[in-house]
Amino acid sequence: MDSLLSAYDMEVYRPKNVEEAIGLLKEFGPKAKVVSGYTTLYQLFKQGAMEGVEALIDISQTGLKYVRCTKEEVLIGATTTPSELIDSASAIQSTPARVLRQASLAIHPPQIRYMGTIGGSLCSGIPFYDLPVATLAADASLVLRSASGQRIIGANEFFKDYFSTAVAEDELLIEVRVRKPLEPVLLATSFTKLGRSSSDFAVVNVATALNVHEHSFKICAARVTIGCIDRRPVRLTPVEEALIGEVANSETVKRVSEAKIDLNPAESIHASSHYKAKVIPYLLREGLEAALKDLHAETHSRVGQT
Amino acid sequence: MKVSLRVNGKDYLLEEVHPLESLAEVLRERLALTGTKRGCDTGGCGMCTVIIDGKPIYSCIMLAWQAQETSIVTVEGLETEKGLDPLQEAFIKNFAFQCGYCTPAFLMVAKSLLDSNPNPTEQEIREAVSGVLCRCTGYAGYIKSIKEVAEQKCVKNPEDANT
Repeated sequence: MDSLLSAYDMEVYRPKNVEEAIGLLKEFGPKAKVVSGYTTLYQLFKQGAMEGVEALIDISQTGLKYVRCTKEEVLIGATTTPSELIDSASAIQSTPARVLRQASLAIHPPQIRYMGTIGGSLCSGIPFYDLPVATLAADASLVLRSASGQRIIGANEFFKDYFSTAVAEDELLIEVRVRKPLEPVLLATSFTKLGRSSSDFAVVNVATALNVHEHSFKICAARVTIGCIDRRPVRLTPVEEALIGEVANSETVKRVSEAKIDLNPAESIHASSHYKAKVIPYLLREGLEAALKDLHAETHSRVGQT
Repeated sequence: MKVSLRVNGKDYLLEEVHPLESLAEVLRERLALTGTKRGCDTGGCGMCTVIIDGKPIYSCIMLAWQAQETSIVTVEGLETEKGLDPLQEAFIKNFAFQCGYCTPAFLMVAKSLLDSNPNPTEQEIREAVSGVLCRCTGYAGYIKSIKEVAEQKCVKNPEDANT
């Protein structure tokens, strides 16, 4: 065994419910790490970045694996895997949460879809992961619970910085909630990603979630979010503003994606700032076009139902 | 920590396993099941793929204790008293490998695919094997073999194909 890894001295705890898990978090505080899929943590352990961790709290048996719908919301348990999101099409396909499903399909290689979890992806605070970008586009709320109570925060307040989120040391992310639209609208969502290879992390990834008026086909709400350009996933507000009030068609897509956007993407080991700035308009256009296709599919399926 | 595993239908109880010991390490070093390979050891190349509860999993980034209470199948578990698995036969027939290092992993992703989707499209096969890297670029042979086995199975057992 790797000597760096064998030098870690820790206990594994496998709580059977959320209360037990948050009890352990309270007890160990910063000396605890929550684990479920391990697909992010392994790298941090291997790089020796987890010094001082005394407790690994495995939450995979705490009953947080579910995708459920209420009248107003879609509720996704924190240990739900991308593969389970993909298999939840019937529950989430007609809700804005389907952008999370589209992002899950963009996660490669397939093996990772069975192992990683939505909670782990969000809490990692890694700005090039796919589910955080989609979570921001879905305007999701995150349910955080600790021994002293529960709070619910919006995705826009959740991501803070590299490896940093709003989750406090004694808190556990237990659920992702996506509101359904109050008014009947058509949904147009998509997730697009540019990677160096089909099974690599994103160089740039874009999530699109549009609400389109049923009769006028005008875009009434837009969230377009992007990863890999900042220390956290961000909204492309100028793009969103340009879309609102316009008819959802290819002319609008062309006009909006060709408009100059002032971005200064962070460079990474994968790509320079200049390269990212060059490819973003293409990715944006691809994303908006995919959202239009998605809209057409939705319109057709509705016609089929009536 | 103590770890109990069920591998290829056999139960093992292991003592003094380090909490960060990977399943791949345990399979190879403690159980001598060296068919499972370690490549990048960071969840990128797919060499270490095993089947856990029917799904292809990277055993290099799964901790041994995480695999408790599951059913693990490694390449050693493919052969039955009837002989090699049809996938193994097809890989041999089509010479679907060069150096052979990635062969166990391709067998595992293929097995997992055909067990859940007995009649996959070529696109589905390509998607399923996309998480395993072949440095000799033997993909064509692998894909051809998987397709052949799927076709044979569907002809032989039309009922199985529907389940």
